[in-house]
This record gives sequence, structure tokens and C-alpha cells, in this order.
Amino acid sequence: MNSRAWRVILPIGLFLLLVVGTLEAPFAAPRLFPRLFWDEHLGRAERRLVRAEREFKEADEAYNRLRASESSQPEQRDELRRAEALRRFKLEFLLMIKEKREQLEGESRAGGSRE
Amino acid sequence: MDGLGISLEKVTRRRGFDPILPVILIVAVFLLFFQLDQRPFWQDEAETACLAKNVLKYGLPYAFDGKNLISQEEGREFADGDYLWRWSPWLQIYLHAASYYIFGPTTFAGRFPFALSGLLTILMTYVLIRRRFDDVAWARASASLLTLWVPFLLYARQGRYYAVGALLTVLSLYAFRGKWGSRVGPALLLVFSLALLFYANYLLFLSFCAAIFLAALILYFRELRPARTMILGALTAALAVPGVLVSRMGQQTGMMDLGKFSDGLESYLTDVGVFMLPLPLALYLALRWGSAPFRGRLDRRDPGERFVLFLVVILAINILVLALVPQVFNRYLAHLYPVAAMICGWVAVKAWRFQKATGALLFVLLGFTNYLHVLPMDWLGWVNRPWHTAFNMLNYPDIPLRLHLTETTSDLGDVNRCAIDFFRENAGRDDVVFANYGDLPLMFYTDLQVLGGLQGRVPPDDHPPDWVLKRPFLTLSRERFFMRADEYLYNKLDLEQDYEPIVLACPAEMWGARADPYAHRFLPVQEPFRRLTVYRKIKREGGK
Repeated sequence: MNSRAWRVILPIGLFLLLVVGTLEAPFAAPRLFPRLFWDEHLGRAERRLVRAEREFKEADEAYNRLRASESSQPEQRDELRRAEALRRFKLEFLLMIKEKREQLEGESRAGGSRE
Repeated sequence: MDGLGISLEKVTRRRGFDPILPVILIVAVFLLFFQLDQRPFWQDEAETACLAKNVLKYGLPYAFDGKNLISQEEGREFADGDYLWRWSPWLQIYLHAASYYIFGPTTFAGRFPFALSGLLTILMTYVLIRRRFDDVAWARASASLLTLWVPFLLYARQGRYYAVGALLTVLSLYAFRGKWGSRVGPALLLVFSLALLFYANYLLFLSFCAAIFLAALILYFRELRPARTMILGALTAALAVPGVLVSRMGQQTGMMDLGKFSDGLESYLTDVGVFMLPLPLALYLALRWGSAPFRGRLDRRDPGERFVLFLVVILAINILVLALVPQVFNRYLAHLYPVAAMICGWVAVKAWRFQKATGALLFVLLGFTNYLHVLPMDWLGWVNRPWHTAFNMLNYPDIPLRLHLTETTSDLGDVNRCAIDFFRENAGRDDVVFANYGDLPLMFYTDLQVLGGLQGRVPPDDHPPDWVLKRPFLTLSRERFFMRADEYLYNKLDLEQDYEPIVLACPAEMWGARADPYAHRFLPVQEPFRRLTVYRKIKREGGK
């Protein structure tokens, strides 16, 4: 491509990027395209929540399985301690993910960005 | 080339006073120092700040003062019994201490030397390009971009090694482009800036030294005088020896895991694309330097362009070395912001010289928005968005300065501030506080005994703490067990039975004023949120 073509393409391309970026930015997008914006963010939060719930469930089941077969062997005791820690970790994580989703829902109901 | 009636060559290559430089520096002073102490130290800053207080007491950074223990690795930071801090280098601790000695132990004093280093980094970025390449426009563009980049501002406004690392990086590059092969001044500057980088942070030193050495072999091989290079290398190593002897680097190398190299590399490459060198610019440079006719002409064309290629190689090798360490943190890239600013500044000036509209648009996109950084990466699905990020953070398209100014001109609350204020008002002098996280800010800002956190120090079973601060922070030990504080909190304490909950107004956040662009919150947390809860021990008659 020759230099003259670049002199047209580059400023137009950069200007379009400036426009697209501004339209996508959180100070504009919730007002201009509220449904699109909140669907994207709530969808992401929902997927995280589903994953966090699944991970907690798996950790909980693993912990309960180990507890049911509790033995006095030191290695198994360590496994149980690890499983208990992981279960608690996943529970706290799940609570935080839930909180994030509720905040997003609250914001989406308020219908705008926080300016 | 003379659209304004002035020859661009004259404007961009003139010597002498540049009126734009003071403007850049005034803006930088405002962005770096305004409301520097608005939010209190978060955990990592408070670690350094508490050690600095002990330096003022004992002359050395001891982790124990007879009452409180400073540790975030359950005691791995010091040898058994001596409590001398051996985990991270001491430069940042002594900078805090010197500032406390002069101004008193305040948040502003703790952060001041580092913000000043940030300002000097901006100035030296300008000086490097101006003096070594005699290009005013490039110097202006690089220094302005660095001034306007909020991730850099966040790091420079922290009381940690980040801005010092950036300053030493620029100083070493300045020395490297001086006649260090024949003159003593640049040679000594090179040695001391690299050696001090070691005392700022081991990882920065290792990754940057490897990068600058290999990049010099590739691009400035003819300039390297073997004897002098070896002498300077040996001098740098010799200056680092005392630090090696004091440190517990051996214990930290045990944390190396080559199996995680590709994850680390992917993460750092993403970080570079999203916060430093935008993907389209990287592609432009790759295409430009990949073309065969160019390769043969690199020597004669432009010494500035060779230097930009040198910077890109440094960036690449630095990331490769950092990826060998499984502890992947964005902050290990903080010293490379001036490097990225010089690369982007060069491209912006190149674009300006090609066509003013293109150059101006590119500068606006690079300096005032993060669109060029974030959007192309987003379209390719390469933006890292951990669960704790929100759409008002720097990994979403935005005008970062807008966020920075909103934060510094408003009161957005801070979880550490909330806890500090509560205990200052409500706790007795001899009370013992147990916190599962955020113990170090409490130690710095109150006179209380604070246990828990990541110290591994918990109250004895027969002396439960007077207060419990439960933060929503959970991590597991390297062996995947509970940390000792969590074990104690969940398995030894009965909060429902023995404690009365006091719900504070502020949100129970994880970190507070952390600089990491993936974690830094600029706006208030929205309702509904969990509130920070403090538990007060119920005094029973005849009991403890």
C-alpha cells in the first residue's frame, strides 16, 4: 500500500477507535446501550457464579467424603485438613462472587454508571 | 514538514531550554503528589512502613519489636531467633525510614520518596532521549505519556520499590547510552544503578540485568569492550554480594516452578499489551523490523530506532525471565513503564512526522485513553479480567485520568482507614487485636498488639483476643492448608458465643489502596455490600 493510502487509512482508523472506545467505555455505554452493557456484565457475573457454585459443591463433597472415611493415618488427616481449608476457601469465594453479582444487579436496576 | 511555518527539524532537534518540560513536570507533580496520603497504607506498604519504624528504633530492619511481629510468610522472612528481615531487600525500608526521620511517621512521609522517584523517572526519561538522541519531540512525547499513564502513577504513589525500580532502570539506560566504554562517569552510573536495583528488588535486578546484557549483545555488540564489560559486571556483582549474604534468596528460589512458565508468560504478555505497549504498535514494529530491506539499513538510518529496538528486546527478555518465577504479579513490570513510554513516544512522533493528524490522534489515544491498549486485546479475548475486577477499573476501556482524578478528589472510603479509625477510638491501650488480614496497617497506625494476618502468630488458647477483625480475605498456605490465622479463626474461636459483632459502615473489601491495576478501585463500592465487622470479646463475670 502506498503512502497516500496510509495517510487516509491511519487517521480514519484511529478516529474510529476513539469513537468505538468512547461508546464502549463505562461512562457512556450504560446510557447509550444499557441492555447490551448490562447483559454483558451480568452474564459474566452469572457465569462466574455458576462456576463458583460448582467449585464449592465439589470441594464440599470431597470434604464430606474424606470426613466419612476419617482415619487416624497422618497422611489422611492432612488430606482432610486440606479439604476443609479448600472448602472454606471456596465458600468465602462464592460469597464474594454472589456479592459482586448483587452489586451489579443493583447498578443495572439504577440504570446508569456511577458518575 | 513545516505546516506551522516552522521547520520541524528545527523544533525537534533544537538544544537549550524546552518550555514544555516544566509543564510536563508540573502536571506530574500534581498527579503524583496530590492527595498522596488520602488512603492509608495497605498490607504490603504497611509491611515496609513497620520495618522502617523498627529501623528508626534499632538501626536495622528487625521484624519484631517485643510486641508485634512483621511477617506475611508465617515467619519465613527471618532466621529463627534473630528476626532480622531477610526476605526482600532493604532499600525501600531505609527510604521510608529516612523520610520518617525527616518528616515523622506519616502516610505522606512514607510515600514521598517513592513519588519523588516517580517524578525523577519522568524527568530522566526526558533527559535520556533529549541528551542521547537529541530529539525534543520524542523526549516530550515519552515523558508526557509516562506522566499520563495511570498504572505508572498508581505504582509511583505507593510506598514500595516500584518507582525506585523505574528510576534505576532509566538511569542505567541513560548510562548505557553514554560513553561507558571509555568514560568513568557513565560506567559508574551504570554499575551503581544496576547494583541499587538489586537492593530495590531481586527479581527486577535479575530480569533487567539479563535483559539489558542480552539486548546489548544483540544490538550494540560492536560497542561492548569485553574487558570493561567484565569489570563492570564484576563490580555490580560485588556490590550485590552483601545483599545476597543477608537475604534468604535460597528459600525463595525453592518457589521456582518451571511448569508454570507458559502461564506466567501469557499473563505478562497480556499485561504488557493492556497497560504498556498496545498490540497494534507492537505489530507495527514487528512488521517494520521484520522487513528484509530494513534489517540491512538499521545501522545507518537512525540511532534512535536502534535504541527503540533495544528497548523492545529488553522488554521481551525481561518478561521471559520473570515468567520463570511462578509468583506472577503485575508489579514486577512496574520498572518497565518508562521503557514502554519511550517506545510508544517514538512511534507517536514517527506518526506525527508522517502525518500530523495521525500523530495527534495516536498521542491522544495513548495518553488520554486506554482504548488502543484494551480494545484490540479485548476483541481477541486476551484481556485478563479476574473476578475481583469491575468495569470501572483499568482493564476495561476508559479514560484512566478521569478515574484517577475522581479518586483523588473524592472520599471513596477505605477498608483499612475504617478499621484503623475504629480501633483508635474504641480499643484500650493493652488490648489485643486478632485480624485474619490487614494486621500490618493496624500495627503501623495504632499502638495495639496485633496478631494473626499472615504472621503465623496467634493468641494462646487460654488468652483469646479482645477484638477480632474478620476481613474477607482467604488464602491457603503453600502446602494447601489453612494459614495459621484462618485455622485459629475457624477452629479455635467461637465468635457467636464469645463475641459481640459490631458492624462498621464501610464495605468489607479485600485489600484497600493496592496499586495493582487489576485490583485498584477508583470509585466507591456500590450497595449492597457486606460491611466490615469487628467482634468485641464479651466480658463475663469472673471470666476472662
